[in-house]
Amino acid sequence: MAQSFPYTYYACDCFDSNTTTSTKRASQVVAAAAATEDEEQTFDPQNPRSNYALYPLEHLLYCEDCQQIRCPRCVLEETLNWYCPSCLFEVPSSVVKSDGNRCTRNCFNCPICISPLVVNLLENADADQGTPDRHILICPYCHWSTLETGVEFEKHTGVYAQLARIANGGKHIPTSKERDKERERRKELEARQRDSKNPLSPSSETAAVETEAREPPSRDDLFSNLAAFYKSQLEAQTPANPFSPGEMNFSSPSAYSRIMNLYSTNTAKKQKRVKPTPMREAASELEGLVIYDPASDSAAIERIKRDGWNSTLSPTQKLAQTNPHLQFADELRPIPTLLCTKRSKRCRSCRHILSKPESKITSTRYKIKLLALNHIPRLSIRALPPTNPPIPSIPGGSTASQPQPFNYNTLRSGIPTHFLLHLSNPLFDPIRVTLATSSTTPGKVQSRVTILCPQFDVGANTDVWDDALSSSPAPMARRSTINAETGQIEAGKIWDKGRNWTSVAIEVVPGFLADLKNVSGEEDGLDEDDDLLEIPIFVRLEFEADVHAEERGLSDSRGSKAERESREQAFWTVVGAGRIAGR
Amino acid sequence: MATGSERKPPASLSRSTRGTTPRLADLGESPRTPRTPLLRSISSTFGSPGGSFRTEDEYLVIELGSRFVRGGFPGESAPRCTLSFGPDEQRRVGDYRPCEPEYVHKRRKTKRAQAWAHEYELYRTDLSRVDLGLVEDKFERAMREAYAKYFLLDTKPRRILLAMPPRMPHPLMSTVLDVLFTSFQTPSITLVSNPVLVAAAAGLRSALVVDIGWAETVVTAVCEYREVLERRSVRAGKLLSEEMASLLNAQLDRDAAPGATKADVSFEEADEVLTRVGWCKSVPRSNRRTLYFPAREAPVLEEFEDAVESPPPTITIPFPKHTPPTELSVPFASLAKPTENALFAPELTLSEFDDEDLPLHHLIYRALVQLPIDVRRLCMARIVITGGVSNLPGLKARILKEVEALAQTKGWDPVKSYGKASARREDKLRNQCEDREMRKQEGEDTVAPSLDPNTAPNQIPPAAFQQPEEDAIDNKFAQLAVRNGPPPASLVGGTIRGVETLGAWAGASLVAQQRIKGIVEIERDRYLRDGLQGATREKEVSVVAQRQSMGPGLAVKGGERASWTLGVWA
Amino acid sequence: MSRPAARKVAPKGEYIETVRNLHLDQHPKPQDSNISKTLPFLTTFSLLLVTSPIVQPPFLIPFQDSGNKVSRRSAITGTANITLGGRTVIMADVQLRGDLHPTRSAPSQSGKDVTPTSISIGRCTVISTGSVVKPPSRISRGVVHYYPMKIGDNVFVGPNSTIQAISISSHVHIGANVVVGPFAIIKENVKILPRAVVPANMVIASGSVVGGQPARVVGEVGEGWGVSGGGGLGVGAGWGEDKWVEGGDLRELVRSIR
Repeated sequence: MAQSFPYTYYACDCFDSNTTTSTKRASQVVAAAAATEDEEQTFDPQNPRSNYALYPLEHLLYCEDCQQIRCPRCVLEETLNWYCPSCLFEVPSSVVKSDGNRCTRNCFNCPICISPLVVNLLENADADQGTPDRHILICPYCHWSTLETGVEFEKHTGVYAQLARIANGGKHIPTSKERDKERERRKELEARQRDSKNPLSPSSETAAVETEAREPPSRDDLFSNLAAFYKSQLEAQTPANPFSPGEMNFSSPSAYSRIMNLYSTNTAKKQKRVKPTPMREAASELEGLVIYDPASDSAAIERIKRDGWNSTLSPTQKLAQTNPHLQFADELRPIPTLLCTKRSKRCRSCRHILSKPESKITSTRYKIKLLALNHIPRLSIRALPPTNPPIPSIPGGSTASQPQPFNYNTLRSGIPTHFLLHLSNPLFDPIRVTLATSSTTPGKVQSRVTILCPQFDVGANTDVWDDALSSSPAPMARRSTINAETGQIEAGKIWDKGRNWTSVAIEVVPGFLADLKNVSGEEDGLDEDDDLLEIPIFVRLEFEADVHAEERGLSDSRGSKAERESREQAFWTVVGAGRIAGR
Repeated sequence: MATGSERKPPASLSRSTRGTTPRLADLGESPRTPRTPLLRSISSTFGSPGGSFRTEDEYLVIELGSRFVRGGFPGESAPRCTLSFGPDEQRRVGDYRPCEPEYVHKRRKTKRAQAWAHEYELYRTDLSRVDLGLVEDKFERAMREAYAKYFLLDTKPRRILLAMPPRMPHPLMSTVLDVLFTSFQTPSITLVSNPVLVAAAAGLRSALVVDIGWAETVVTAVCEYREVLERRSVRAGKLLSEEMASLLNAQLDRDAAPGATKADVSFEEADEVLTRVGWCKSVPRSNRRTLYFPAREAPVLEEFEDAVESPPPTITIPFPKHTPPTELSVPFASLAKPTENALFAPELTLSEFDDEDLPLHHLIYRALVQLPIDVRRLCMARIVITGGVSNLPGLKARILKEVEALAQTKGWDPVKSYGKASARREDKLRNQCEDREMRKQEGEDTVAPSLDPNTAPNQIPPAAFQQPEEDAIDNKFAQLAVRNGPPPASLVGGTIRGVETLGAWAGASLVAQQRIKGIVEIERDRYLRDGLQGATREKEVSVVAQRQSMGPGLAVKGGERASWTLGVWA
Repeated sequence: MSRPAARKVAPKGEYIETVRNLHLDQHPKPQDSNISKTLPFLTTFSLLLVTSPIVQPPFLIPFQDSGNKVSRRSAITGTANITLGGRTVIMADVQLRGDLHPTRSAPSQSGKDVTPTSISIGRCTVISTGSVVKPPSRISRGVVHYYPMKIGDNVFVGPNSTIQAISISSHVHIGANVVVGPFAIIKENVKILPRAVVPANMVIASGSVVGGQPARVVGEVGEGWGVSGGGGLGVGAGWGEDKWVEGGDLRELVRSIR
């Protein structure tokens, strides 16, 4: 895992309690039945599905009404506002609707390496002679620039708008209005030609006129042609319908008269004489019909042959483009930066707000934030090296005199290793914790795991100041000891304890990777993460809490009067203790 | 019934989505081209305007594929996002391994027990080996990403137009629908099948849609927006990338030092090579001796094709994940071989193929042969090739050429072998071919004569095509038809012709933009109550019932229907 | 937090601790008495720490926590142009290039020339071993201009990183071996994964996780970023008893370093 060892993941309940669907097919029912059986079994971190159920603690929220952990999957998100992550300007929702999900200022990403592009002024030797300045977008990381695709800008601001008008190579891109106009013009031309000729010979002449040295239409062109074609066809079908599905405009006089027609029978009947033409197919390129032309393909083949690998685009580069149907590097366009959103989150089952950031873009504070961190204990694991006491290694501060820190990446197979499970309690009530795990880890490499003290109490959390006061460096007496002779840790006793935390020892005998290889008889019997030592641990808490725990601190009068109720909470966690070294 | 008149356009288009079992009798009886019945003009006085009255529903358009999900908004030509399902998309939250620098240089170990590229799929149609829960997880995460990163919607609920392959297994469908209804609170989902949308995105109402997808190639004959025939073959993207991987492995092993471990190119690498520099010879190779081929054109083309370039061009492909990282020079010509082998299999004779792995051209040809003649006439001139693999340069041309060659040599006779009588038949075929050739040479007409007697006025009378007598009145009608009716270009038929399409997603975007209501429309409440079982069992909801449901009685709630159906997917 | 006695750390006095709220300037010569403790070493490198007085409940702060901790083995140049907010740790072999300061010093209101600031670092920020902090520069008309760099509070910079950002906001966690290019802007609550290369001019919006070469946004930090659950008793990413979390309050970490 990219998280450095050791780490802890928490499983959200929604993993197996997904019962939202009313009907499951028989197979699913069977699967569900199997799942209920499984519930008794261990959570399997090797199961591909577990990747969707496990979260680091800081990603989890907690619904106080449902008294359950809420993972990103069991919340509904609502967008509060939109902003560009690069220029940090807020974008109003109307603009998002009209202009799409990308920044319309000067924020672009490199189409090659996706780092942000910067606007540069091209050197202008003839500035004195009145040559206007030219600007380009250039990538400071890989040095790709719009010069490679023949795009230059007149101004250094409003690049998005400028780019929208310039095609690669410097040609002008028609706007949608111009496109419509052009289409109308060409259509008329065509119609005139058709009329002037013998209509019975749909001859090559028209085709010749059509194809007069025109570039093949872009996808956008084709799409707008098709859209216009369908629209006209639909309109032709519904001449008398005031509620034509396309546009509805009560304010226009024609629509008004049509509505009136509905109520005056005779006029309506008169109009009915016109026989509408049936829907038809697109007949020309202007209507979106393009006959397959092998020329472009053979050109592409020639090009690959000539320019080789580097002129082509990788799948990721293609997908990053707004138009993913590209093949060659000179078709690349700078990628306008995707906008970001600030979102509030609601519990999916009770619709209470779980987190709501302040709406101001610059603010990073939250109005509401119900973190799982503050409601369920934080479980962490660390190695208990054979030497005592544990070595605290300061990140990066490893000076020469410090002993070697424990290497989590090379756990030795078959050698018992001790870890400490550390549980700290964020609740203001003492909790009773029961830990459970299967004796061997699931997966191909089976490691033996023993929690030496599976049941213990953790003290209540207190206010921060108390914490500060009590953080006197008096080390707590250890409750469990290592037997000097055998090196065994006494079972059944906790290892250490603080005000609101307790740690217990856990003994792990990492499994053998080699066994597996022998069994399969081949070298690569292991998958990517099979050598991970991940221990699923089931955590169950029992505690007494005020009934109105969520109002605690707000009104003392209420809190003091409230009766207590006993609560229970249980969840799976997966602790990553390290990686077993292969031999 | 009468009330349906204004609903006509939507209904006519939406019938597409119905994809009932082909009613060939219906199609056969139409005089010219089969088409939706003309609009019956009935005074709108008695119709309820409510039938087509729609509130401003906003749609999302989502296309579901086995390796990608595309999502975006109606009226846009390209989807906002195309999300894949590679292993890097399936990591835990907080697992940022893919962005470690050395990750690029590490080849991911593939799970041995699994099929090729299994972990890159969202689903497969063989459900016995699919963990539906995992499909749900993957799809849910992808949709969540789409919503959070690309759609950036406000809180207003959006309807969804979901483009799906026909014949989706029901458990998979309900998995997908579950996610959309529960996690994303969609009020309703309209299902439209891919071939219809592909046809719509080509501007066609009838087409032979060849979707060369990931797991299989599906040939669907669409007539008037309705699926009439479907043929499948496993010769598609998966096989192709596997072929490419074996080619690359062989090349790497050849270059490797002796004793080195066998190269094992990952799917990612093979796929990248395929999409970047893969291609397809647009002219069939020479060893098609098994087939009769017009003697005149073949040799010329092959000479051209086999013209030896010196030195033979090569492509240098970097393999940063190989150990040690290396660059491989592959002859350019060999990069076309995987396509050849996977999709056309020229080395094998026809008898060696199963029904499930027909080469594409045979698949298309068979589909065409099995169509009723007038549908065939439309479809053969509207071959639309789509799907991820179809972007390989040269592939479309190749398929069209192969199909044309097959059609020329075999004709449209469903009988494959006449036994003893076959010699006579071959003679006949040859004659026909020569005829055609001759006519071609004379350059008389581009449109094949068999279709439209009008367009082929003066020709040497072969077989059945005697020159019709000139009839002034006929002519006049024809002229009128041309003037007032649809332009002749939209009536072309009878020749093999390929038509470009913008793809299923763009089709869905067009359909949603025109606010066309689909047949398969699933409301959230009903679905959550009954699931897929709530759909009426009837596959074929008759048009009449359809219209009634649209009628005044039910029109109150913006076209909510009394019952809903699953159409093609039932 | 004191460590068990057996722990062998660097020789005593690895860190020079400066007193809180002491303002040192090389040019206006140090005249205050409360710097006497640091005076001997000020001759070789003077440090100035400034900013507004830190309001803290007095009982929280043991004596040695009152100031910054600067390793004797760090290489700091142009100390006059560097401000440390207090309780900031500069570890061994760190290079702070305060000498690269803006040349165009802005005249202050009094008309007197004020020493230009080149690097200003906030409170409870940790710059780990071997990192280089260097203000970004731009060449215009053949002259190199340096721009002042600002680093916020509770920022952690991992070992062997190179920082040339123009601004780093608070609660940012930068992993080991990271390169932050010139003029990058890093907003609050950002995590930069180890070995990332943040390209020049990149703006990282708050709440992002970035990584890769070049760096891109690969995720979001959770809502619980920097929150140490359990009333400050979180156990960090596995570093023994350290009571701090990435992006959280680094006070405990600072306290534990000696």
